[in-house]
Amino acid sequence: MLAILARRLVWAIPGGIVITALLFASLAGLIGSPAALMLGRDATAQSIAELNARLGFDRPIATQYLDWMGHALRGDLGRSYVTHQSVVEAVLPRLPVTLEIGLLALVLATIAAIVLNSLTGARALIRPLATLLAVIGITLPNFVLGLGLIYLLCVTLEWLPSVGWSAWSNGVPDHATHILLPVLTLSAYYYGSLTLVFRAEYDAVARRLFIRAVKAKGLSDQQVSWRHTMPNALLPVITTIGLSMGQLVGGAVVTESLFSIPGIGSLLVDSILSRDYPVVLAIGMIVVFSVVIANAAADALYAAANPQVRIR
Amino acid sequence: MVDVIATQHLTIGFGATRVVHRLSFSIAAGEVVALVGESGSGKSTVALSLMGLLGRSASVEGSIHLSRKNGETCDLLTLPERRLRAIRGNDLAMIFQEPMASLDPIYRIGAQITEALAVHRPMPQAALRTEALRLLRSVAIANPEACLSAYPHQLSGGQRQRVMIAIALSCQPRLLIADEPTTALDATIQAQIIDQLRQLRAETGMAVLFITHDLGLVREIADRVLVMYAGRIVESGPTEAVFGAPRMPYTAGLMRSRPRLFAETPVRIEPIPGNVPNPAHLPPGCAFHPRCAHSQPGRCDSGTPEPEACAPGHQVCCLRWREIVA
Repeated sequence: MLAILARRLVWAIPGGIVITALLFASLAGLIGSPAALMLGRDATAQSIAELNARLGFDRPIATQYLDWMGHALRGDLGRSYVTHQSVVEAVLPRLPVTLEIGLLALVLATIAAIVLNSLTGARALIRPLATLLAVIGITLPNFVLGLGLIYLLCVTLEWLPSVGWSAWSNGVPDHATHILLPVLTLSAYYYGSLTLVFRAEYDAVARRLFIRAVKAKGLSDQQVSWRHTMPNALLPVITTIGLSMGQLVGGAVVTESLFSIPGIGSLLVDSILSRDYPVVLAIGMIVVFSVVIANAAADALYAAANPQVRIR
Repeated sequence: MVDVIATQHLTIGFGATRVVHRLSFSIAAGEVVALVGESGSGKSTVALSLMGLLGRSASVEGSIHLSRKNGETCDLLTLPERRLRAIRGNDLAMIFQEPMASLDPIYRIGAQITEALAVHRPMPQAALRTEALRLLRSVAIANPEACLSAYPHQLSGGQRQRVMIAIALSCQPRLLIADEPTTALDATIQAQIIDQLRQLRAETGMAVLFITHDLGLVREIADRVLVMYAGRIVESGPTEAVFGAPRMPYTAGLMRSRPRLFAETPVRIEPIPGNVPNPAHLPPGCAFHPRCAHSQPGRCDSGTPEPEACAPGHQVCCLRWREIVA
């Protein structure tokens, strides 16, 4: 398993270089002269040229990229054009917030998708409901679902505080009530896609011959489901989780903006709106590497879970 | 001898289509009974109905009386699912046609062998392991310890079928249902598995319902034969009697359509013309009459033949069996 992980991470290096280069070039092309942006509309052509020269923006893009990469490898991602704060310092404290919400949402969605779709007998009667929730999760955009939840639980029923963020230091109950709605909102889509993937595989496994052989041993339907059908149907779910984990930051954009949560997603929106080039680039890089790492981890986990891949 | 299992008028349908018609047969303790017929005659459906594994889409009528290990006799068709589970894998066990696909790919063999034991006779982990090793030895697995920790994909087809037999035998069933257990295997492996089954039957005294279309195997292993056609038993009797003097033209046809490698004079293979009829559109009268060389218009296509004894223990369903013999 570690060997597979290591191999995938080594292969991720050239991938990471290519993707950051593309990101760098496209951002440079989109934004144009950073100095013009920084100085505003009234700036003279001469002052723009001077600032560009001082900041090194007059050099070819390839040189700028290599320069940026060199600094990035040493842990320096530059300074924000807007706040002049170090980008690393601006981004790092927000990363745990996004990861906490994203991972909780993913765990919740995974457990719900697997449990609700592995029930048998009378309990399987909730299956249509589970499918309905999945369809809602996939089709309803995050901002609609989030607004709906805010209106229902915060405005009408007044069960939860509406928006905003409360750190762990304010106590667990306060933290939990603030994190609940964003996690629910974010998990809806994951739940939907995981349900569809798991359900299809579960039904396919249930038709395989070994399931009949297991029933012939005298196991109850629920034992057959928990021990045999469900574990065999998990393999594609692992791959889907890997893909979803890579999208955590992207998925956080809407949810974090909606609930005013100080995470990477809301920072990305703010930075794009204020054309804060170094911050956007840094977050883009985080997204790229989280996709690569999550996929590598999913591959390794897939191999660990599947004896036919693990043992050849 | 005591009957381990006895069916009365067992009738099985899927929706409006009946695939098994009023089947009555019994198997005594220690007896090997072969259920023979072409594909589509309803053999596997009968096997699955004995196990109660047909699923909800099937409607099963009649009765299946099983005499259990604890001395109790019960009708499997009236038992609730909870009590059926205590019987499945315990008093009744089954091995399947496809050993390659009948083991769960993600568990080690050891865990799969002890699963039925753990359900029916809970015991400590160490005892389960000892029992699994004993079972693997009893089915002549060469290296039982290595086999315990192997995954199914690491075993050959023959080894997997041995493992399936070990699983089926784990709770010492009263009746083993073997649904074409050697069809998917090489001829040499086939012979080994049959030897194994025969030997295990002698050791354990269990009854065996052996489902096959291979008449050569039947002659080797079975005490009694049930010949099935279009969901009915058309001839039944001791193996030697049925093979020596088949009374039903269908049975005789099956015999003639079998390749005989070691016949002293070359014998022509004569296939039975036509196909097994679709259960939804059975011909009127004797279901075999459209394919039968002896059928008489106005007779075989109107009256359904009932089983008649043509010799002690030998029954036949044919309106003309007396005339054909003569």
